[in-house]
Amino acid sequence: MLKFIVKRILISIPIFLCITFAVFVLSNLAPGSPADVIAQAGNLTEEAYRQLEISLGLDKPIYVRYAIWLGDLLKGYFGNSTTLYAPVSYLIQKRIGPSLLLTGTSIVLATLLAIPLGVIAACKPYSAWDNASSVVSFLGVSLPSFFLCLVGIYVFSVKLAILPASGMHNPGDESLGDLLRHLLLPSLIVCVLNMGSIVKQTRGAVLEVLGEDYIKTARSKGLKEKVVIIKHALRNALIPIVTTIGMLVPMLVGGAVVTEQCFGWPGMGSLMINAISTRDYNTIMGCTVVISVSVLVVNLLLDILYTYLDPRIKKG
Amino acid sequence: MKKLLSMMLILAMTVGLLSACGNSNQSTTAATTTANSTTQSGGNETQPAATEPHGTMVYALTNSWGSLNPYHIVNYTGTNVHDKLWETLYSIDEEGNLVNRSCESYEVQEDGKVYIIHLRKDVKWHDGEPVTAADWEFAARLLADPAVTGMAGKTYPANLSGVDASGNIVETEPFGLVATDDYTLKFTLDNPLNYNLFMLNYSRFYHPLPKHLLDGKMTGANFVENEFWLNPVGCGPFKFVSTTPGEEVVFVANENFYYHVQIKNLIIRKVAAASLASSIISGDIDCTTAVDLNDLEELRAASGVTVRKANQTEYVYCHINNALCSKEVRQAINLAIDKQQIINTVLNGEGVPAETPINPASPLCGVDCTSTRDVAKAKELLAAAGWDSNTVITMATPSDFREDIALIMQQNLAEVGVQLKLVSCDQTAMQAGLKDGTYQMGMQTWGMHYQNPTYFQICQTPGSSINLSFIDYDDYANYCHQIDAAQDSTELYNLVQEYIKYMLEDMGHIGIAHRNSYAAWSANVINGPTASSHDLSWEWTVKD
Amino acid sequence: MSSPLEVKGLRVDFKVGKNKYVTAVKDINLSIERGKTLGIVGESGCGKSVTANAIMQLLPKGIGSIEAGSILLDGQDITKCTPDEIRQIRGKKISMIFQDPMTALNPVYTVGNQLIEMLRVHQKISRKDAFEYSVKMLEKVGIPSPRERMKEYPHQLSGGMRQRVMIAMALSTEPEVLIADEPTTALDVTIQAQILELINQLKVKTNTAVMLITHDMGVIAESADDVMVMYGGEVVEYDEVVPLFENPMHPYTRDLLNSIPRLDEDREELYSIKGTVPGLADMPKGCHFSTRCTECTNKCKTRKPPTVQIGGKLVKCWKYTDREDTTDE
Repeated sequence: MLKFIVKRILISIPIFLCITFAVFVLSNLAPGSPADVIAQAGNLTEEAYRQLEISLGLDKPIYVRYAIWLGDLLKGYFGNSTTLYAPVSYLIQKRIGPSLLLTGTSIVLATLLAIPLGVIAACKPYSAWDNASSVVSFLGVSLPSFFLCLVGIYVFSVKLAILPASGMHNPGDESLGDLLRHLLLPSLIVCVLNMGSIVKQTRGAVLEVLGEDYIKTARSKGLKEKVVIIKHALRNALIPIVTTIGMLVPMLVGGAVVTEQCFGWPGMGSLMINAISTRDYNTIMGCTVVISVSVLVVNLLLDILYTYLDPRIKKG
Repeated sequence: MKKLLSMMLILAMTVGLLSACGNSNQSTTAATTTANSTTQSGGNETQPAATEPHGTMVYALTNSWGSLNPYHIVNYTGTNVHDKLWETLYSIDEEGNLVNRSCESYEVQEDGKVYIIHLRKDVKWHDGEPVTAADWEFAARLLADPAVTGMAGKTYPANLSGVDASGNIVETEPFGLVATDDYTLKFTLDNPLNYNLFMLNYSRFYHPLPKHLLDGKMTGANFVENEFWLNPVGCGPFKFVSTTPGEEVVFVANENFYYHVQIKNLIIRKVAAASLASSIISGDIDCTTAVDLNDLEELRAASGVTVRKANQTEYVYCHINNALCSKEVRQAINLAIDKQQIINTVLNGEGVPAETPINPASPLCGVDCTSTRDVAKAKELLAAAGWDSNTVITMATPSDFREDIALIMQQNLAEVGVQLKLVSCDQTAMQAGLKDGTYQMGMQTWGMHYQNPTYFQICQTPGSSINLSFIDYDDYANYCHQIDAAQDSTELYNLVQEYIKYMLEDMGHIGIAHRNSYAAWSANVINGPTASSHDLSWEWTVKD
Repeated sequence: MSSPLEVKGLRVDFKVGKNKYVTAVKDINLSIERGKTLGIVGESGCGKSVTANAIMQLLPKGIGSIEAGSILLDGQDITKCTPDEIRQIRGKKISMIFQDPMTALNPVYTVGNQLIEMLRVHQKISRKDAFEYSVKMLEKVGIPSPRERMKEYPHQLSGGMRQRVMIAMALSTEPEVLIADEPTTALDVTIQAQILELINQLKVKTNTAVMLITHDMGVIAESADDVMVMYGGEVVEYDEVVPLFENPMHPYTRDLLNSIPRLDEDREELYSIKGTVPGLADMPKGCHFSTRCTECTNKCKTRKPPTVQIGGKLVKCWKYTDREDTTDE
């Protein structure tokens, strides 16, 4: 097992370098630089503008800049945001908590709702439950997030006035209850948007498993149907389901961008968007590092989890 | 299956219960504050009159403000945050008048070359230390340190003596901002300037910094990225509590401020433009000055919400590459655009057509600036200028209302034989593209005060980084310098008329409209902000 | 004492469309005595597994249904039981083992887990006791180092071992009836023999009634006491094993016997029955075998043959209706 983990970590390194280099190049290719953003607001002479470019390191060729950035990263230094003038690590640290809270709650909710729905749909194909699950999957996958957000805000905050429309707390209110009230609508929306794929995957996987011989054996043993479905069928269907849930992880860390914007939720997603539109390369790269590392780590954890889920997969 | 369902039910019930708890908390605080306000207005109280600041206001901005460093100007939204925490000599009210802040009185000497500012003696830092003139000089010298680069606010003090065009100290001249005693500041300028205009244009770029905390610790080298800005000690009407950079700043009232601050907690928050209206209606946000014109109807219809038209308009205009489009061509394009139609359809009628940056309703505008669309004349001008109708002008449009205006412009210009190609991009890409010539036209807004005719000059001065029309002659700059220097109000007025006439003739930029601006307040607000960058925050008050 | 398993007049229909049905098996009658093996033989698609599934009440829900007949388990008609009662009977009174032991065992649980589960469903027994008992069962079926095996997963065992585990699992509750649906088809020939031997031994020891389903006449010869030959969803011949081999009466039975490759004959081509089994919906009006029978007559094509009893044998063919003990259907 240890060898397996070490090998995976070693493979992750070139992947990480590729991702970060690609993002670095792409963000630099976008027209406009952080110097331009700063120059927008003030009256900089040509000389001052040039000086600014030098101080931001923009006069060097792109691969040199990448190397410098990478060198800093290895020392643990993420650089400073050129828009917010705070250390990038500080910014990320402040924003990652809310993001994890929002998307973590959504994923947990989505899993708790989607798996039972998918299982029931698989056990009663073509019934009302199955149709309901298809509708949910379809809507979740097709509805644009901003649409759901705006509808949600309109219905619950404006018309019914039972849930807040933005922010994480009411000012001065540090209670858990208030936080949950603010969390409810955005996390439900993100949950619904992502439920669709989990329901579909669960239904498909469980349906397939139900056709296997060992299910027949289980039934012929006289086991209760519930045990057959959950202990024998669901357990075998877990691998594709877990994979689907695992693919939601980049969202977990990167933040559900549109939802965060609509609800004024101070998470990583809105940090990234702001950084991109203000060409804040350091913040963009910092967020990229955090997201890609977490994706790589989660993939590794998933692979380890698979070996426990399916004993046929060799460990190592 | 049943187990999962019951778990979900329990979860739902718990959330419901907790939200009920949250609700009841809110109602009790509401009850106590209404009790307070009734005693205040009632007059027959056993308690002392409530001079205590009370309540919480959540103030929404649609743009980010960068950091809490007051010289860190990312866009003009920053002033809305900085003037709460830091001191300035003046604030500017909605009408464009100077409102005294730290400046108690002044004298103009040497025909406008020297200003003697007498500072208020009762201004204190939030840690209790008094603010003196030395703090002002300290800050100005720090900013002018050549080691400070990359700050947009750096170049504005360039018109002081002892400071060069890049905003750096020049050792051979006396420094232009000096503390002559504890509460007197002496401004020495390179050239005489009109005091009122100087303060309208530049007072927000001068602040004191706590010398007793920063001397020796903050230098030019670590000025920009200093951890002091993450936990600043200011001297303005509100004290810093906490911040999530780029998202939110939490302030609490400075009860020792020389004006009486009436709000206890002020939270400034960045909110996406799309959710602004609904947040005001639901009460999550208390006020904003960035109301989208399309939300006006809905806000007006909502109960308890106040919608207030500001005494200030925004100048919507187009940069146009002067090298590609000669004066005649620019005039023709200006004549071809149906500005009234644009105002009616895109701006919901909220505004007047603009020919120059100066609003015709301004008291300083005595020239007839009526806009008339004249397609025939436009065609004439284009023919006389030898305009090749195969030339394509590429215009960059960020995707907001500017895109809608651009579409109408495209149709208008097609009628006179000018091809306009529209490209969608974001703000930064537009400016970068205008700069390197990829785009020849782009649309922008600019807040112009009625009383400040030369505010637009940085866009018209050769060598400026925002001169995106590539005006390469000095006429605009000369007019503005003369206006800025005029010490006599009649002379000022006449010079402004010359300036306006020149702009009508030269058309360095194409004006589209002077757009109305609105503020919206939730039911919780009794008095709030009216126009961006014109906050007199000590006058604001809320119910709770 | 009644036979542990008796089936009378069983008919199973399958739904193939809205309001469209086909009959999978019809008029099935069989009985098995304690300690005896009934071999059911026939080509694929003749209804052997359907019969077995019907007896276990494991027909696909909503598709397969018992339309007529009774299944008497120890005298009790289980077609009239509630689903809950059936569930209690399954595994306890009647067990089944399947063709492919790799897919028939759950790959994510250990052998021990699955054995213990079997025991704990039907009786109150502690995990420890169930563990010990399972180890003994593994010993009984001839698995070496049974304690270690308990912790292993199905994919770690060979084919033959897995089938032994299946048998151990099926017999651990000491059922009265064991249904073995092609238990050796997926195994090597040498292992086949071992498994069949094992089933025989255990059958004798526990006095279980065994229903052995296969398409291989060799297996029948080896293990069955009685034989039921099926074709096209019907029983075409039913007799004890020796008389059946010595004196096959139904043309299909004869053809089946002829198909067995023999070492003592010198043939160049293997004998095979001409044609294929018709689909359930395309069964001929008369005798189901009429399309392929070498002795087919016009009557065979148009009228369904009755089941004739001749001595201890039952045969469904027009050839023998003039003999004694005719039973019209």
